[in-house]
Amino acid sequence: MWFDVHVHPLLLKELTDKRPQLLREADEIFDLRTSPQPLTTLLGEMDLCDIERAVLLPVNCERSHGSKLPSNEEVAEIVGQNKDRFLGFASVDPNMGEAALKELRRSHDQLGLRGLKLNPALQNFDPTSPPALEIYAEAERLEMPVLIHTGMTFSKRFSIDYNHPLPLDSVARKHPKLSICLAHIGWPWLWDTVTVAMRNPNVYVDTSGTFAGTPMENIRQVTSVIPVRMIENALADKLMFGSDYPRIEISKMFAAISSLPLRREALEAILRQNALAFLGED
Amino acid sequence: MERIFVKSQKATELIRITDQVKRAVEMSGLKNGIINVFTLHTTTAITINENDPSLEEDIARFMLNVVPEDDSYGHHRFYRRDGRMAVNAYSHIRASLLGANVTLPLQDGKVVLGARQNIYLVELDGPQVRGLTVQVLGE
Repeated sequence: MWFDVHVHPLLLKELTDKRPQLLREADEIFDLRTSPQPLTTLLGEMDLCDIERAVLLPVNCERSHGSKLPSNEEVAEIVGQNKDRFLGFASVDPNMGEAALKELRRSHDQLGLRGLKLNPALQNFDPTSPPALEIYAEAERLEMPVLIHTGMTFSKRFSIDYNHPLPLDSVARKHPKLSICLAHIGWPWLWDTVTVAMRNPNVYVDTSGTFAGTPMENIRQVTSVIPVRMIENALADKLMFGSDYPRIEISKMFAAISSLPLRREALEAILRQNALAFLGED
Repeated sequence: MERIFVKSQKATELIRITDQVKRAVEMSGLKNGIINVFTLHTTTAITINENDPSLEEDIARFMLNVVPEDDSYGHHRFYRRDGRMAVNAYSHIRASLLGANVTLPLQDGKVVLGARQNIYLVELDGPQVRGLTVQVLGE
């Protein structure tokens, strides 16, 4: 029934058994050191809170760190085995130029991946640079929505400057038909994120993020800055449920978001309709 | 020592593992002694109780009530060991209240249990795949 637009499949046991170096790369690059769990655990988490489908997000860190977390093929393989439960996004590194454009087209045409995931600080690219703009243009042409990590990251190898949400305003205006999701509500730059989303009809925001504490503590902190009333009035058609699994269990994030004192229709939009609009399925 | 794996379906639930323990004991080939069933996790527990589904739910509900989830736990902070927020102090505390293992007698190749006794894995932070050990000491 509901949608989770932010799931990382890199520590699925089905992948780490085949490619054990993923464990080390998840640790060293993605700062994630939890034990791998089989796909059935992810599906069980989804089932616990009636999540019908989840978006699987890789991050291509080949140029910046020598790794794909995981690869587009691996995402497509998981999706292929569970088409009714997952949508796969591709990830490319804009600074790889023509190779990145080619990979984006291949991911769309041959692998059936539906969107694009970018993480500027982790991938070490300027999200407003000419190579990035070329990638956005191609994603727009292919009708692939883009989910971009914005805000806090614990990874210190590259500057966090690239994760600021405000520069993405110019991207949204240059590419009005490109659906863009500013992940993690841009925490801690919450108002900047809200501003970009309110100004641009094609910009969405996802709820993922536990930088301020547990999911419940995090959502309390967010709503202490952005009042619930304003979420209803200005973000009810913008905000999408995203968990960031396995950084947090889907069911725990779901419980926190569901506890928001929102009108029923606003909560349902956050849990489903906005994701459908972002993905072009509405 | 045998390892068994159990997949939980819920965040908190009692899962009957008596049959799996019996099979693991048979694998040991031993006839008399003691059996230790041990969970390899800090957010699960092992217990013995009556196999009434309502009672299983009662015990699970009691654990939810006795240790609240929304509290100011010191454990709830960014946990560098995992690279994520620690958010499950209540699961650890519930697990400590119940204990990580049980010991049972083994007689004439049979696990000695009372008529209403069943061995349970208590999932307190599921759903997950969980690992247990079954070790038999004896002859």
